[in-house]
Amino acid sequence: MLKISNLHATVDGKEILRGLDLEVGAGEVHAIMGPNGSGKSTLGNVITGREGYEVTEGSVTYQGKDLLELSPEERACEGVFLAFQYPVEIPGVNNTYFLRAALNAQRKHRGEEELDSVAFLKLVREKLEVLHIGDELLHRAVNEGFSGGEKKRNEIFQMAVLEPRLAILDETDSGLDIDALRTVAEGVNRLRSPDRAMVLVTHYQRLLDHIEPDRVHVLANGRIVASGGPGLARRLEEEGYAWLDEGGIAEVAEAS
Amino acid sequence: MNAPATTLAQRIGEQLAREPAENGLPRWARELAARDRARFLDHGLPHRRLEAWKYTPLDARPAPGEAQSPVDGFDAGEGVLVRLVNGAPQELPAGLPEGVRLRTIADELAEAPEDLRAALESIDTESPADVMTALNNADLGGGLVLRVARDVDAGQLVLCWRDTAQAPALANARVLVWLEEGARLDLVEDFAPGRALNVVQQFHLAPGSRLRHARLQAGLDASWLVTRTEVSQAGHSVFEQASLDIGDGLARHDLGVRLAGSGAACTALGAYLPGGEAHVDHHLDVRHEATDCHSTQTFRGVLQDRGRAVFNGRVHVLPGADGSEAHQSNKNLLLSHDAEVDTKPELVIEADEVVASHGATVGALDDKAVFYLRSRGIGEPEARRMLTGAFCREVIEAIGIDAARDAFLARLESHLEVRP
Repeated sequence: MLKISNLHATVDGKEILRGLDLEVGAGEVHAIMGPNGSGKSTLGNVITGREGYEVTEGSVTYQGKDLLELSPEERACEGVFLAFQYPVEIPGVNNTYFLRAALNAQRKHRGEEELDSVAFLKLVREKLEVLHIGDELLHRAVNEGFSGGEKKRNEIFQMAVLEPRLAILDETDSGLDIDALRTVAEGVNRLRSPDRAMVLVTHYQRLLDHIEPDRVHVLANGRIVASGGPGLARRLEEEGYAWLDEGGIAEVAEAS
Repeated sequence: MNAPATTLAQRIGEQLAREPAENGLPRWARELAARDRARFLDHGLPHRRLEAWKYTPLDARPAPGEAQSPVDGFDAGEGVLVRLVNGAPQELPAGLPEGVRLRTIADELAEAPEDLRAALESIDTESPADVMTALNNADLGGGLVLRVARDVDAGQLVLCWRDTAQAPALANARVLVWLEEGARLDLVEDFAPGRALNVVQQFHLAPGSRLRHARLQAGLDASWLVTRTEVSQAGHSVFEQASLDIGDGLARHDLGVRLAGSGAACTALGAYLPGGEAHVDHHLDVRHEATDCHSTQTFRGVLQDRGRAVFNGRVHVLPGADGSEAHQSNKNLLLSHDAEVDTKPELVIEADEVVASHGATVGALDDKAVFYLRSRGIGEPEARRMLTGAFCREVIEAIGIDAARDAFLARLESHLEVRP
């Protein structure tokens, strides 16, 4: 579904990604872990097309298409979703209005009929109930005055409504209490399906107690330096990232 | 060189000489008109050397257009509708509620009540900065007087201002309102000038009365709308004004409020969206003269193309007006390199125990917010439209008159559709 080859990307002229390779198949959940500054967030931003992130080399292919050729909105309409590490507050734009506009833009792109407000509200209430989120967030402006946990819940709620093909969660677990963490895990686990792929970008192993990934990758200095099964995440939790610098990469095969 | 074309000021002067408005007026009114005609001829149109007009020098503007206004207007719903054509009221509605008296200013002048005289003479027109009011006095006789008796709720009055092709070079009109104690009125104005219109309004709010005033300006290309609204508020009266300026021409709004009785409150809201060559100038002068009065001014501007806006918000808390509360905010979105906004909050506090805040910003759309919307599948033009609309909607949604709020929101949306 997603194939990244030799990806190099710069921000403000500084190279952050330095030859990243990653392949995620349909139905798979991958976790990308790594120390701060390793390029984890840059990866999500490049995949969704944020301005200021320049790809200098390599390719990103999504469902056979060159993703880098598409605008951010085209990528979203093709089914790519990023749960932001820092969701943006948008005063004056009602959350329900925003989400309906987004869903209808995507449906229109796919040649499907747009949902009227009644049908949309029905869909939204179903999703809220499943995720155990109160409906007060429907009446508020997008993320305005939301606590950190509410913002992350709102990202997962959007993901549940938009039902993307490829979801990237950028440190969605950081700063969450256990209830919010469960909401996030619930949202991801419910969306798992054979035709969908997910990438969890995270600093800690904590989220992976609730979501069992198929593959775990370690990102350091802009490259994947190690890949393995769920055991790799537990080892990182116990030993930190320091061992990577000490030539420990060879041991990864055993951990996976 | 060609012979100089007749200036607008000269044409207005000829118009005043040709149609002396003072026929049938009481002597004091004739004297007022004659004095102020002389003042207008002496001063001419406001120019950039006048501080209050330096960003809106009418003498340097291209002459106003000569277009006919669109006929359609605000749906008054359950309210009373008065059409004013070229500044002159057409047929006045019959069957107004008891305690509500609506007449033409000409009819009122014939009876010459003392309060009318006091009101007309109350605005000092000696300074060249007040020349548009002098011009209005010089052309007395067009306009309306509304009186609402004690504790009467007059409901909603809609004034629909339109121009025809046969209008004078510049039309003048006066609107005077008296609300007696505890009276209520919702006044909605729908301005779509095609030419030039100069309106002076004077609102008198007795203790405990409430006036809500909503104003839409959708002038045609090259039109001029100059309004001056003077409000005097007695104790515990409430004045709420909201303006939406989406016209293609020039609009200059002066709002002067005297919070003269303890516990009075006034709110002024405004959204202005000049694009093309449009120009919007808001000048506010709010005076806290009594204790425990509240005033709030919230204005939002969106400027595109070569659009131009001016915001001058003066709030003066006078000595003795203790316990005053005054809040002002003016935020502007500059969406084009050729657009310009000049914003100047002016807060003068000479009393004790005053709570005051003010802030003015000029900025662009938040790129992070644009990207957030796009990352969910919303196209860039639509994303920008949503954010721009949200920026203005905040003030329009605060309009207390339901029908005006809904109509203004709809006009704002359709304006943004055309001009994202």
